Amino acid sequence: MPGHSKPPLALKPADFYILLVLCETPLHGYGLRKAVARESGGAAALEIGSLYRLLDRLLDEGWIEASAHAPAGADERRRYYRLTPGGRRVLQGEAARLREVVRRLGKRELLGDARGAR
Amino acid sequence: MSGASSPRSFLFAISGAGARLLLRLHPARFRKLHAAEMRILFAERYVEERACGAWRLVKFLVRTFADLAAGILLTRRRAARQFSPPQSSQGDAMFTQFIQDVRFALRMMGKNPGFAALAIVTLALGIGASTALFSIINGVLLRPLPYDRPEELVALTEQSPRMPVMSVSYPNYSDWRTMNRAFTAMGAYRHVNVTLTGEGEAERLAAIQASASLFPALGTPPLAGRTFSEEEDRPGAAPLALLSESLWARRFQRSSAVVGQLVTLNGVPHTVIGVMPGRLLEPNRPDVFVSLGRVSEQFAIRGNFPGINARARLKPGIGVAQARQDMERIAVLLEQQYPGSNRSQRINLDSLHDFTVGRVRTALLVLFGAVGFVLLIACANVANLLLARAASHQREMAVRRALGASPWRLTRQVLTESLLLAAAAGVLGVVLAFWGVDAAIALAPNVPRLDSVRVDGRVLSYCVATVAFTALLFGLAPALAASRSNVLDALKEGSRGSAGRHRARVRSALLIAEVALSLTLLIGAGLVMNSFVRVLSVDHGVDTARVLTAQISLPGSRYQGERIPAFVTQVVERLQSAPGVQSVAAAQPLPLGSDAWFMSYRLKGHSSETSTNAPVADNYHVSPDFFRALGIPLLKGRVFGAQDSGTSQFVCIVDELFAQQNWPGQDPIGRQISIGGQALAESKTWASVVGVVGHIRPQGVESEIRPQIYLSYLQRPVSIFTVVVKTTGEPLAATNALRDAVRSVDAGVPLFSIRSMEETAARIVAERRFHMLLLGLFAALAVILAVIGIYGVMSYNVAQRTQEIGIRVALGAQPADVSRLVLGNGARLVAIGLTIGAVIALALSRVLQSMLFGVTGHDAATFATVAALLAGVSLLACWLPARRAARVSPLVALRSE
Repeated sequence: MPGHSKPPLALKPADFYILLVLCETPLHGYGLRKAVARESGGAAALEIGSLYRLLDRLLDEGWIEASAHAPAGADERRRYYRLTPGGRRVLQGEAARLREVVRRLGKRELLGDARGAR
Repeated sequence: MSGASSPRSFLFAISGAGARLLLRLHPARFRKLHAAEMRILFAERYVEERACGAWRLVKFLVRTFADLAAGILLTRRRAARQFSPPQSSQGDAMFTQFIQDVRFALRMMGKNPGFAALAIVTLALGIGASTALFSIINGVLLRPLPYDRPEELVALTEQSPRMPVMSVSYPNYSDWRTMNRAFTAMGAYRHVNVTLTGEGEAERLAAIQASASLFPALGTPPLAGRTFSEEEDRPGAAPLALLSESLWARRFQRSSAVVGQLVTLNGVPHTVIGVMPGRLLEPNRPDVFVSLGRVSEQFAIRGNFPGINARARLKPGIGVAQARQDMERIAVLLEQQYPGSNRSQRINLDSLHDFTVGRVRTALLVLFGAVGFVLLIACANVANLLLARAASHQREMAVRRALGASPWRLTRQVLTESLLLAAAAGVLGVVLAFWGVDAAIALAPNVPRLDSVRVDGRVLSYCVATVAFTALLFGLAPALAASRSNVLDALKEGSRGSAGRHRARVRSALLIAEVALSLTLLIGAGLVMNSFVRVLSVDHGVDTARVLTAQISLPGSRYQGERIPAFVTQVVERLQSAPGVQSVAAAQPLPLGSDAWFMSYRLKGHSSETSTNAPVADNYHVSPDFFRALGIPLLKGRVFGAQDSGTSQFVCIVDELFAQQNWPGQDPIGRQISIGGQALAESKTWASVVGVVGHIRPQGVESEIRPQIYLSYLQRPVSIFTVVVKTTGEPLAATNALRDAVRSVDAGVPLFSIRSMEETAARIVAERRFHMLLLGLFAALAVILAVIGIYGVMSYNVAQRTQEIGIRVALGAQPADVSRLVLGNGARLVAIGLTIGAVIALALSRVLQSMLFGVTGHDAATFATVAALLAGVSLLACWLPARRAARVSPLVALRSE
């Protein structure tokens, strides 16, 4: 059933980045790939097959959906993907998890070291 | 590589097809959902990566393919998990097994990458070469000519007892046109060169003088404007011109306003009435078309064959044979009507396709056959590799059999691996073919229709079929071996069993086949090479060393009559005083250059003076120093001098062949000849023979032998001619002196086709050289592959027999005995292969006949030399393993098991 809104564990990086860039604006495959690459600083470079396998899975999970209409002024031949409310919850959950991670790290003064090392 | 300049490129098509293929192996649901999107993304990424350079593009393609291939399994597994319980349909089980086989094969390749690479490269060479050649054959021989209903078009030429194929006389063409019953339309054309002046730089153009009826006959409408009407194609009509697409684009930027403009051709303003598509009359690439009928008065002599080509379109339902009969009827009628000019004159009629490509068909098919041999040898090699490896997997196979795998399942697994190897080789081969075609087009001399060669759907289908065929061919023996493996034998420790013996037999057969095929190919290459050497070694009678030539075309508006020889004399005088110049002459046509002109002649006071069926001779218009510049020896009398001008007695020089044919044993000096058709004879222009020179072979040694007559350029000037400069040093160094001399006489006269005489002579044999190079290349490839194959088989045999050899040595065999044993075994196989190869070569030699010169297809010397050569390298390939066998230490050998 769609909408496992709370992931049991941390999101995979690629999933995370896809959800992250889709929470701003609906995107098509090409734009999505670019945005993910930019957002991850090139760490999550997706090949065509991997990208669509991920999308296929995220669609199945019900975290994203393919939009029927393209945003105004966009290329109408393309399918656009956008975040579902469920997907937004997952992302928020991940954000909360990360905040918790950061908090724990901060308590051990690991973050300060990292900042200092810069 | 021009093909890669747009997303419509060849590489894009190939990689797109490959990606689609991989995508097809994904589950249907996934495809339905994402395939269209993925395709768009692929195109976008392709363009993007290509912009970053070829290497990025390759990396992108490799990554994408690997990713897609991995996706097949991942998506299928996911689909299976989602829709459990899994459907156990027959197709799905097959597919799962196929995927298993593929994974297994990939794992095997990964375990032994050297083996995989060797097999793939070997096959890729064969597949690539054969695909490249097939795309040339496809373009040149198989694609239809670029006309409307091209199968209806025929080419007409004339035939005399002396000349099997000659151009058409204009009066004959006119009569054919009115008398025939076979054609809906008939047209004629002739090549000329014109100089375009006016806006911009003066340009030398390839022009076609075409009859008005040519365009409807070919069925090609103009791109813009119209073609000539019959009224405009007559003497006295206003000068009109049709531009070709290329000239239209080059000089007029495709402006439609060009129709109605004036262009100046040879100083005469012509009105442009239309534009014709670029590929009309291929393989020629004319720039401009003018009317043939308007100047037809020049061609009024029936016995004159001024290079006119005739084309006609058959009436529906009339075949080539019927049309030939009709032309035969006309030829007989014309012979009766004009016994003087048309005695024994016949008409050749061929389909335009045959006429255009017939000359190269044999050569292309021979090369294609050669490539096929290379491919077969490559297959044999890979089959050997697989067989050898199969032997080492024998036990594994037997275990699987024992655990319940069906023979068919094992066979299929081995075949899957073969298919995978062949497919990888096919991909690599297509890339090789792509380069090969480019290289061949760049190197091939004078092959018609090369511009229509491209890698298209048919070529790709051919390649796919080749991949499947080769996979089956080289995979069959190992696959059968796998299915045959005897479980008990194989599981018995140390046994070599019946399957092993069977494999050994197959390997021997493959070795024999390789030797036979490479011998056949090598003999073919040897014969062609031998012919080439003979062609080169025959003297064409012209000393080509240190000679520079350049063509000049004097604009007809300013140069007529006396002004032409005056121009020539001035240029010659100025050049002669230039440093590094030995002698200077003008000639038209240039021997070894363009086609020779030949004309009928008559002898005064000879019986043939009254006979109107006159013999023909080549005709050259030359200035005094011509013979000196080209090293043609003067045998008797004198050469031309300044005194042989327009006002003095009309003189000529003949070659030794002419003298011998017409005045055997008599002195030719002072005899009189009339040259040309009746018109000249009637005006009583008899030329006195003043000298006899050596015979030359104007079109190289393969041309027909005709006697030659030289006329003085000063007496018979023509406005297009070649300047011949004999230099003291490097001929091309005199180019500037030549340019300066011409410019100082008249700056408005362009020089073109500047090249050394050696280059001109090389052009004659260029086609032969090309065939020889390709055939030699394929033969070399075949021999290399065969030698690798022989070496592989022999090494393997030695390795298999290590134990036996060890025992022999332990029992007292000397190293020499051991080598003799191994070598003898190899030599026997090689000898059988050589015998079979020689028989095949003999049987096929007839096919080669038209490519040979001076040797027969069963030239014993070539056969013997080549067989000895191949026997030598084959035995060398056997000797290395034999030597290794001889060094076998019995201790090591007996311990090895």
